[in-house]
Amino acid sequence: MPDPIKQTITRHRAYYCLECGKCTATCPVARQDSGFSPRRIVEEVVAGRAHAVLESPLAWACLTCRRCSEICPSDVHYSEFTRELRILAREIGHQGACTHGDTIHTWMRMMADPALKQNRLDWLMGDLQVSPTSDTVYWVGCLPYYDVLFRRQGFQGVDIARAAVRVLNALDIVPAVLADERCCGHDLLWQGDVNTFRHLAELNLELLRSTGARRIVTSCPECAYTLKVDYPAFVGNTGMEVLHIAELLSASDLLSAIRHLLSATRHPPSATHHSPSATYQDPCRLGRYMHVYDAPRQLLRALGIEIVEMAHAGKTSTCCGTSGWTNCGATSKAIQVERLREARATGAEMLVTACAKCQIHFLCAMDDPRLGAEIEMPVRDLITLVANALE
Amino acid sequence: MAREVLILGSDAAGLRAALDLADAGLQVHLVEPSPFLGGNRKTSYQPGLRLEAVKHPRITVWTNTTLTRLAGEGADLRAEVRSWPRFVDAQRCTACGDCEEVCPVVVPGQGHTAIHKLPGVSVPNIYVIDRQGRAPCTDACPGGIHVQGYVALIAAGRYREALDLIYEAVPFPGILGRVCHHPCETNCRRAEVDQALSIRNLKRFVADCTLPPFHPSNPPPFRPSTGKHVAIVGSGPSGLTVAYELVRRGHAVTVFEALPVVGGMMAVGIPAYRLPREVIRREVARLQEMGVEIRCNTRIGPDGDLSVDDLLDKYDAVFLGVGAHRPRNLVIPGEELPGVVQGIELLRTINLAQQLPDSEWPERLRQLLPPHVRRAAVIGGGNTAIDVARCLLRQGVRDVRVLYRRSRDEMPAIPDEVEDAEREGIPIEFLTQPIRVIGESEQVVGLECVRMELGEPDESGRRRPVPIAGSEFIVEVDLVVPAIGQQPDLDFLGEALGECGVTRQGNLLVDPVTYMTGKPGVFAAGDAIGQPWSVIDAIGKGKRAARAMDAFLRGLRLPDELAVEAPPMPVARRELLPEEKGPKPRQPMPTISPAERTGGYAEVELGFDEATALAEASRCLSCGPCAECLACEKVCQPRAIDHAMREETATLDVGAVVLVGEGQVTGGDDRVYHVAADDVVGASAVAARVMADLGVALEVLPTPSATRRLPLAIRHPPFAIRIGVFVCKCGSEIADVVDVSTVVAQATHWPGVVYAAPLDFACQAEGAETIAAAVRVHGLDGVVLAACSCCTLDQVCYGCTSQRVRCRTHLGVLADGGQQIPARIELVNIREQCAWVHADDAARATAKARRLIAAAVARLREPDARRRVVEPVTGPVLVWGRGQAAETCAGLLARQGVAVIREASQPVEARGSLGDYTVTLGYNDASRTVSAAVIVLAPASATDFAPWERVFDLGGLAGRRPGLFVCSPEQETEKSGAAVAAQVMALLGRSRRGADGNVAQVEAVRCRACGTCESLCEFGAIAVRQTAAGGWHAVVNAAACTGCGTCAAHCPSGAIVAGYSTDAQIEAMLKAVLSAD
Repeated sequence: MPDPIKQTITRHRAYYCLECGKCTATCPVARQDSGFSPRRIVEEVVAGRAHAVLESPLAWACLTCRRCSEICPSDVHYSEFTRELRILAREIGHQGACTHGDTIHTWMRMMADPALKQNRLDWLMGDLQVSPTSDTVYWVGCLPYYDVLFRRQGFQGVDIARAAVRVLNALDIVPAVLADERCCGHDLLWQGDVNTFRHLAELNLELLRSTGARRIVTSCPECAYTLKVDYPAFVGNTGMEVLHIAELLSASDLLSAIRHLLSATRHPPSATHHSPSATYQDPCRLGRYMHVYDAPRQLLRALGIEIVEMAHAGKTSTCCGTSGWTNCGATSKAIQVERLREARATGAEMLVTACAKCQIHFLCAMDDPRLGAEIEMPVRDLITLVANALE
Repeated sequence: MAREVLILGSDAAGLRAALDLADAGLQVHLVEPSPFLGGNRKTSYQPGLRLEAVKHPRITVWTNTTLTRLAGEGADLRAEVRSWPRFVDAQRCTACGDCEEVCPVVVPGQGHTAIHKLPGVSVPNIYVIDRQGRAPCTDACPGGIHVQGYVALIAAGRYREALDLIYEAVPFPGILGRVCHHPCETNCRRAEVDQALSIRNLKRFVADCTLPPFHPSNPPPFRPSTGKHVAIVGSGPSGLTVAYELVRRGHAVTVFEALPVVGGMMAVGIPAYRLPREVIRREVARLQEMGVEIRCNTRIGPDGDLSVDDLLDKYDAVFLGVGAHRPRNLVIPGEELPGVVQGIELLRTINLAQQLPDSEWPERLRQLLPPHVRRAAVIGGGNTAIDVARCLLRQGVRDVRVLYRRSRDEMPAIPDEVEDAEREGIPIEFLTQPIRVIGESEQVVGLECVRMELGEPDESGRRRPVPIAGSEFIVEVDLVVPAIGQQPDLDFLGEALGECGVTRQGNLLVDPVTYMTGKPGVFAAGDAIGQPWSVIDAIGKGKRAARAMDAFLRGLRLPDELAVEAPPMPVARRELLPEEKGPKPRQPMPTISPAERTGGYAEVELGFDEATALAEASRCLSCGPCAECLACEKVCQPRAIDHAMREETATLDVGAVVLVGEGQVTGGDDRVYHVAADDVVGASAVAARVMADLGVALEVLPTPSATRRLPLAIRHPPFAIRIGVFVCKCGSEIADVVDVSTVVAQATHWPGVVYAAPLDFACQAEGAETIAAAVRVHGLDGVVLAACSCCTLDQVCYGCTSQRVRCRTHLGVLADGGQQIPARIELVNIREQCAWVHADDAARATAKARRLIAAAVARLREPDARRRVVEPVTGPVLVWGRGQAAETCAGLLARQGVAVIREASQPVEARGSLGDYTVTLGYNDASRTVSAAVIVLAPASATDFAPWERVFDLGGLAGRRPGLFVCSPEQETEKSGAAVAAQVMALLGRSRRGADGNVAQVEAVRCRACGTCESLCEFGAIAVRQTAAGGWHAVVNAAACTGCGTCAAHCPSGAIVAGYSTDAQIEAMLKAVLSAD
């Protein structure tokens, strides 16, 4: 039987590591926590000391943000390498430290129950139009769930979903929204719980295939990447086009339609009018994973917003500090504080992101009795901004 | 100087003072006159505090105890305390209540049973027997029968138990129920109200009882055979009692009887109309069934079948119970005439002729009592005289009279018998003494007598009869029957007589303790060793002799090694209540008519029916009040009840005495303090004065166990822990509902469990010893004990009990004390949570017990984060305020060597908590910042207090912020200042004993420094601080942390572990509960 460690090393090109250390130099975690080094982890595993890594908390420290892969001269897939190490670590009983008392992971596991009956449509209200026979599925993701936990920080996830449907409706797209959608499984997969991920993926695939739609649009970068890349790799293809909503809206015809609609609103952007400024946080899955850098910026510009980039933007953008609701702590906080300082340094009026989790993490970091005033700034969701502008 | 304090009275004030003093480091004796803390006043004062006192390692609780004397001066006092026993072992009682259910006595005026607890919560939760002494009836019984006990059991309709209780003491309930001269009745206190209880007839009732569901009693348990064999000479009451006692103690017994019938005087002295032979036969048969061998017609002696020396050769010991069958002579002229027949001889002949009609005895009776006898005079006033007179009537002698030289009051015969004789037509001539038998041609024709009068009392205490000169007269009779006493016939001893020894009165001489004669191995008792003569006395002496013989047979040296009996209880003499004094007349004994009686030997008395017996037994006043029926002792599975406990005294060296409430004592002078029973503030104030008198040394105790490292960010797999599971049966309290053996058997299959066993009583010392041994032998790292304790915390809560505290003490899981078992211990409360709440559904209770135990096992398999933290509070105390309260408080603290900072300026800002308060006082240029470990606020008024409310944001929580004390402006200032000083000292002392293991712990790398915890903690016990390295994270003040877990529950990143369980443990327990089947 082939050694799973060796397979992992081979599959993710760890043998090609030159030990140059660029990964560690660029790693946001290593920058805050000198005990963590992607280079050393690769070295340990390649040198046959995988167990030391598997049994150590270090296996769970990586944010899987792909800053290292972006710079790696040997194209080592460090994030996927980490993911497989975590799958192996789980097999021998280890696990990362879950935040929020394991609540969110518990929801995810509960959704893997085939007998679960959900009603996820209560947030649809007023003039929002959906159709079960639409060729476009709007994939909501976990937005309504997060509202329960992060209301105190001022996070309103269902408003993002409502904004997405409102924008689609404005562009004459009446999407299907699924009452029995389940968690896509992204967080579980990246925390090594591949079995529960598979259960979720199978149930979701069955549901999606039953709709007859040809396109999935989601406002969550993680859902988008998971449905598009990981489902085919681990379980099966949806057979449908998967798009983050920013990708969809930045298509030339739709972007024109948006510009047209905006010109018809009461407050068209004009040279005389004050043009708001924003800085943009690239979500890891949307940016480095799916290479969608321009689409959100195009949308912001279409809204008449001036973009002031942070010191680290685009391919070198810094992660929001926590991934998969695991291993949050002093390091995460330090990354977030530094990133917020960077955002404040741009002088922009707001920080815009296309990922609900980035928003939550920044809001949480700002909830600080000592630093609050130094790092506070408005954090806005991209699609919500678009929807508001179209009002 | 003694650094111990005696507190008399455990009302609220007594408890407060005791806890303050003990926390501050002094040893406290908490003395309570009633059996329970808080007194019997059913105080509503927190039971938790009472239990806290029981648990406190520096408090010795003395219940049922009074302060009898106080001597010495200054701080060198000697207090003498006297403790009346509970009769229940506080280390064994499980408060199961089985005893209360069987107790037949309701204490007059109290409404509870003799063995009882308080209604509601009792502290200690240990039963107590209301036993003020021995009932007069029981005390009077020479046979040691628990008289009030069987009367109480009869009143409760428990006849079988009543009979068993009698059988435990004596082998002859039926015989004694008929012929006993009942000293019990003579002593009965019911006579103070109306008439004594008819106790003897009650005994006869149970002895004869055949009511359903009554079954004949089984013999009491035997000890294993010793291989020793004893010869008993004489089958009377003493001989047969010795046989009964020795057989039960494991010795073989052979009884030698010279006569053809068994029973001695019972069979040949007492007439059948009083004691039917069937009754003797029945009770002797029971002895024979128990293994007593009886050989009749076997005479011992030089001219008999065997000599005493032959017996000594063949047997390991010999008992002489030969009675007193040789009559005394009148020593008057004419006594030698054939018409003069000794009463005892006549009775024996009549009795044997009846029982053996085909023997030579009927003919011998005809010779003694020829048909021509029509008139008979019986001389004497004892039972023999009355018995022989009534027998003569039944033998057809028309004119029978009794002559007695003293008056009715001096008569030794049982008064009822005398009355019966008179009713049957037998005149008794008192103050009459025969002086000459008149005979004609070898025939008695008359008896010359003289009248007497009573003079001075003689050596027996009775007034001496003196003849009246010239009062001589002649009674015409055919038969003169002297019945003036007997003595033993010791001729059978032959040469051995000298070795044995004889008294001047002609009785056998025995050692008063061992009942051994001068001849080693030869014992004697009964009538043969002298008065008093009665069946019950013979039995009593026989029992004591048997006890000595048993020791002799076991090779012990007499009398030195004879087991010491518990000293006698004083006789209970309680005041009778008015409601007890209502008359309830004595039930008369139904009898056959006088005409029926003299026609034959049919039993005269018919016995009580059930209704009569119940009515009579219910007349008992319960003098004890405990009846000593021992029913509680028989059902008590933990063997906690001990009626042999006796009053004890102790002398305590103390430096001060605090009298709570009404308590008074002479001596002690200025070291005796008084405080009102409910004045808790006053109690603390007194405690402060006592501390100042004696001086408190604040000592840091060594950390009991090493700090365990927290699991870091990862969850360990279940590690290879070796777990032992122990399931307490609590006697049958748990085992009656929960199927303990099944649970134990299943537990052995669970992962990690290498050993499982049931325990009888986990809360007794033996329980902890069993567990400790198993930990050693099986190398256990973890122990799950399923009993009645819920947690291993060093605290008590509303549900806690003495038993739970005791259990944890024995296991060594409390702060100080007990053996330290080198294993992690988890406790599961299956008594309450299974056996009680599912008492009606054994299957459910068992299933739940299994789940709860499985959860505890799962919990043990996860790493435990709890650790005991000793973080002594040091640093100065800030005393704020100008008034008398501040002055007093600061002064008392300073006398204990505590650094005190005095301030009275307006507060501007305050931060921190116990151990590290920082306060800014004053305004602008004059402001300064003070650091203090503890803050005492002594405001002069509520207005004065307002700024503190603001700077601390107290919101009514002043009392809950640790280390912040307020002298209430409404209280007497000096008192409140002193009270707070005591509370501060108590707090400083407590912080040196160590906090509980559940204080919060922060894992710095997981802390986001978000401040959620800080904003939530009511106790100011957690705060975000900058570290030396410049980072920020939450820091816990262990002295202030209560382990409530609020911070841990809200921490978004899970950086805090607090309270009893880690998240992983909770998850593991839930999984186990949901999957254990």
